[in-house]
Amino acid sequence: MTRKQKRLTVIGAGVSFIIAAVLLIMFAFNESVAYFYLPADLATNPVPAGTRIRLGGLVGEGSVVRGNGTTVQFSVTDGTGQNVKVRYTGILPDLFREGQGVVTEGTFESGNHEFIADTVLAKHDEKYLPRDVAEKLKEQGLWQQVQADRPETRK
Amino acid sequence: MIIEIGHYTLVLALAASVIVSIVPAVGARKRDLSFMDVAPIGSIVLFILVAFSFGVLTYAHVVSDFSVRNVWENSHSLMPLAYKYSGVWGNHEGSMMLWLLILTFFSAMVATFGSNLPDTLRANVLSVQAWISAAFILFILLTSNPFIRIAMPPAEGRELNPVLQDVGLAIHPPLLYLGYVGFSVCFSFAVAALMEGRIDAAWARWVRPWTLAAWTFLTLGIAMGSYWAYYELGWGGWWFWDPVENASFMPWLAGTALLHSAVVMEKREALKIWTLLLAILTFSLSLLGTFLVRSGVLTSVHAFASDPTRGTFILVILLTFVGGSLSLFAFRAPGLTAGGLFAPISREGALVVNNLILTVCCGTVLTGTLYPLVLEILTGDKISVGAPFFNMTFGLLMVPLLLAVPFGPLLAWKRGDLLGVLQRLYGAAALALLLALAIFYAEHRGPVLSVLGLAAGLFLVFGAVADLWFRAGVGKVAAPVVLRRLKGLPRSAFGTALAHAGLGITVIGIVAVSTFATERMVEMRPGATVETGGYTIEFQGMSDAAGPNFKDDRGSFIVQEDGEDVADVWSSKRVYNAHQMPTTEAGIVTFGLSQLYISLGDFTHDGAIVVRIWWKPFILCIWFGAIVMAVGGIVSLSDRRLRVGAPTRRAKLAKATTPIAGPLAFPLPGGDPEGVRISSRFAPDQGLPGALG
Amino acid sequence: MAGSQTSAALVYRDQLTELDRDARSGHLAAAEFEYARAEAARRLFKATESIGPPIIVSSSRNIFVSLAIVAFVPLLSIGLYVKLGSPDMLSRPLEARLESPEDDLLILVDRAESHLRQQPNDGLGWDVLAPMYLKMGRIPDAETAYRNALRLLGSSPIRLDGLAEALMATSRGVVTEEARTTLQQSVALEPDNAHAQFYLALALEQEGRRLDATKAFEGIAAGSPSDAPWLPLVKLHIAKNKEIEVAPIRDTEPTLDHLESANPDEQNAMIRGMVANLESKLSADPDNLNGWIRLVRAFVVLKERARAAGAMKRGLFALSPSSERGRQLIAEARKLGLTTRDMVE
Repeated sequence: MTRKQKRLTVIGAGVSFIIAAVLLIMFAFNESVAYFYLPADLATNPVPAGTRIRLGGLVGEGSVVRGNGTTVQFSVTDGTGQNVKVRYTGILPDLFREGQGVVTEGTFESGNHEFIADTVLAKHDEKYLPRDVAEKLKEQGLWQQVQADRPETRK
Repeated sequence: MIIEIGHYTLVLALAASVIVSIVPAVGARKRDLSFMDVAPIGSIVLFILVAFSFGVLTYAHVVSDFSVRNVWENSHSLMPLAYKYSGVWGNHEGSMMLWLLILTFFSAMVATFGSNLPDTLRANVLSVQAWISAAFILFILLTSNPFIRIAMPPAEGRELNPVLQDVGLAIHPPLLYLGYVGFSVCFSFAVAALMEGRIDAAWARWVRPWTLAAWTFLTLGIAMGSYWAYYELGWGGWWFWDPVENASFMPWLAGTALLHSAVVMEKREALKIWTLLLAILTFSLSLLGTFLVRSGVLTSVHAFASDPTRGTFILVILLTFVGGSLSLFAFRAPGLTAGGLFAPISREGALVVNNLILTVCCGTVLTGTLYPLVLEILTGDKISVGAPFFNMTFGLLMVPLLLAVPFGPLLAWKRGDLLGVLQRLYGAAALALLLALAIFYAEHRGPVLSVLGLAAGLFLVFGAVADLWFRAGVGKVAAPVVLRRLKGLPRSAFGTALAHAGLGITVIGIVAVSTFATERMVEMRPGATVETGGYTIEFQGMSDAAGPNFKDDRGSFIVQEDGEDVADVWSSKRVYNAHQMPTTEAGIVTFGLSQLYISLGDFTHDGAIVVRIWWKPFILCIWFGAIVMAVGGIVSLSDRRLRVGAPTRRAKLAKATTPIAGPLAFPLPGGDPEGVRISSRFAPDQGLPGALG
Repeated sequence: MAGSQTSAALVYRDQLTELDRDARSGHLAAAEFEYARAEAARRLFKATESIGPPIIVSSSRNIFVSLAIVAFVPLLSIGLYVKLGSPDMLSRPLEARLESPEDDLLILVDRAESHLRQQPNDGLGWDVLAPMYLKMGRIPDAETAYRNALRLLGSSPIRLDGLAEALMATSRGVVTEEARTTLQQSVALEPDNAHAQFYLALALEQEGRRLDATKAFEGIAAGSPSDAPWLPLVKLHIAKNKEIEVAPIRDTEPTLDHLESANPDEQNAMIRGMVANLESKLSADPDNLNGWIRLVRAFVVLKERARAAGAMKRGLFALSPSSERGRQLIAEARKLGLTTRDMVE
């Protein structure tokens, strides 16, 4: 190989690695990126079964039902009256409470409209509400109400 | 009064930094020593001022002076003394002060140990450092001032967030910042070189100790943060691909690339322009990390928009420094002389592969971290880019690097012999595969990929050993010679081997945990037992306990192996009095390098409690490997060659250079260096020594 | 000090030394050594060539630079510090404050609170704490404390007046029915209690019974010594109730300029009276941009930032923040040094 050919080979190898990386990123975005929804969004804009999404909102008052073993059912609502039933097997986070903000991740089961969550987060910011939820609720004008329910965090 | 003196000192530091920003740079341009000499003195004065100011803030925290708002917001008179200290940087204002303190500390270090540098370079480097200092002091004074007072001081403070009252989190930020901010020195060197429009192999050697030091601290800082998240958050995970974590990981990736490309530049004067760019990019990523963490954009882009002062200020700093340095680069880089040539298969070639993969991986992490932010700003859509994305992209892209690492140090400079190296690594590869299979069978589970992963990790470890092995000539020469040769090897060779082996150990830990870990989730009543990882765990029951500022609901367990009790452990659900915040305290038992991790869930309606038990084989390898890497960094840093021209050695050298003895007998101007015929005979069994991995 | 060529040369010389040692110890084959040495030597050769003009040491211009620095440092630092710092404030370590808490209201409150947690039936404790709460603006606490003191120690004009003030503060300056009966009890105990009488007169004024109010205020004025600190305020109210039909309120109330001639105590009393009045008026009719601006300004003058922010918020609520007048209010508040942060918090 001449020097020029060598250089071209090297550059070609480098560029193809970068192209592979870009393709991989695009593929991975398609595969694993989850969009965030509130129950009200789902009512107007249903998501097909099997599509991975994040569902956020408030845990419905009195909706938590502990089933067999570690399976828990509850509903996620957003104050517009819409709510979505969620089933989750696992340990709920420390801050999971009825009436509190929650973000779940998973897919809808085909057939019935139950959301099978594999992750439940109640990871809070300083305002004790997951930020995705807080913002969406703010848009709906429900934020004040939610805030009033909480104990005063400042002296 | 002392508080106000501390405040005034910080303002004074701003004035000092402005002077050091301007005068030495002008001096370098005029080549006037009396101007340039302002730089070292000024940088040390700047550090003393900032250190004093930081000391005053610390004092205010320690004596609980609630007339300082920062103290009132983040401290409490009854907090343990250690957390009063760590509370200083456990909040926004204080952590920015720590950032600044470390920045000026590095400037002072350059001023102290930089007497071997060319005068103009040193003056420019310190000037650039002072620009950064000035920007951040201004940021602190105008938007995050820790010295704001309360006219009527409250009687008690609000206390530090209980989650932050932890030893791990007390040490984590200083380590991380030493890494983050340490890269500012590399950045300043790069900008200074661009200002001078001249760069050569010596530059790389001057920059290398700073890169190494920053890299070592960052490695430890990231590992520390990861371990903290593991034992404190109670989820059993050790890395979450959280934007905050990514913010520290990206400079690490770029910094690792920089470390390697600087070696090529030092040895072969190649990759000069690329190394400059990397130095700029690494610190830019540090700044980006600071921006992401401190501006509030991560909590919410809207939070950023509604209280924009801080975020905008850092964004302006970020854009000024990144944009400015990159424009300078674009303007000046074409004028720099190009570097040396080399064959694709050579040490340089291997290091280019390293750089390519590391930077592409870094780009991947950057994309995954910023994409949700960008998308939300542009379209308002909220998405989450989580672990699956990063595992798929970053994980896959890193694989070729892991396999390539052992080859690098064994290849010769300029032109390497892949076949020869392959032959030498046969042993290491075979051993790695064999052991991986052995571990695989011992664990009796896991897909084939895990075997390959383990093999890759072990290959890294054995490859590192093989590197030293062949350099010492084990098996070829007599034992005393081997010893002498090992002794003669530069420290950086050991550093390289250690760092690569450490990476291997971490990879083994990651692969073992992700494939062999078992998770059991069971409802337990007192007396119930669970089997996992070859141990039997018996639940003893719940009891109440109270700490100084929390209440515990504690579950006790006994761990048995072959019918014998081997450990007692408890896990608890904890509520802190001050914040009424529930947290889970995991119970962790260590067996060798593996751990049992027990965490409590909720009570079920019939009185049992949900317990989650993980068996995490070889998990400690993850952090142990990071420590080995850092030790490698420290060993390399102690290499005497990095101290060339340091004040103590200079006296000796000055004497030695006059009667040019043995090694320096090279007839300098006489022997036409261009004319030296480069031997075509190639000796594959000897690489140039002293490559730093 | 190292010139750039010598520094770099030092590095390359060292590389050569290194190569030589490696060759001797057997780490390096002969061919490798030769070519590496050639490269390092070439760099050394290049580095020893002089580059650029020589470095000079100037001394003449040095003086100007030093002078500039000497002038610049204090100029910038003192200027900026005066803007940012609080040079008049001393350090207040907690221990020292606990040792001598004489003037330290919050420490005293804290002590009284912890004492009362132990002995909740110590009437004297509540009696001491109540006015402190009121002063600090912790109105609900003040109300509780006064009630406890009244329950445990019985009625006294001072306690009754305090409770009434707490009640009025809760209702934003309006003399409520409960406050009025409390004040009447106080007057019954001590007929020439100008304090209680003033608020009772104010109640009449708020009800719109201007004639009665004028009479009541005049009664207070007649019964007060000529140097009583409340006299100017009382006179103001008399004037206001008499002239209310003739001139708009704004012009008859003391402006900030008028206040400057009065002594500090009077100023404070006048402003407080003005504030109470304004607050009640605004809660009755919140649609009043100038009123809100004046209220916010008054609180700023009283150095009650939190209440200024509170007034600001209420004003914005009444006027709607996005309206033209809302924006005017925000702009005014900015001029007074209130930040958006204050308003949000």
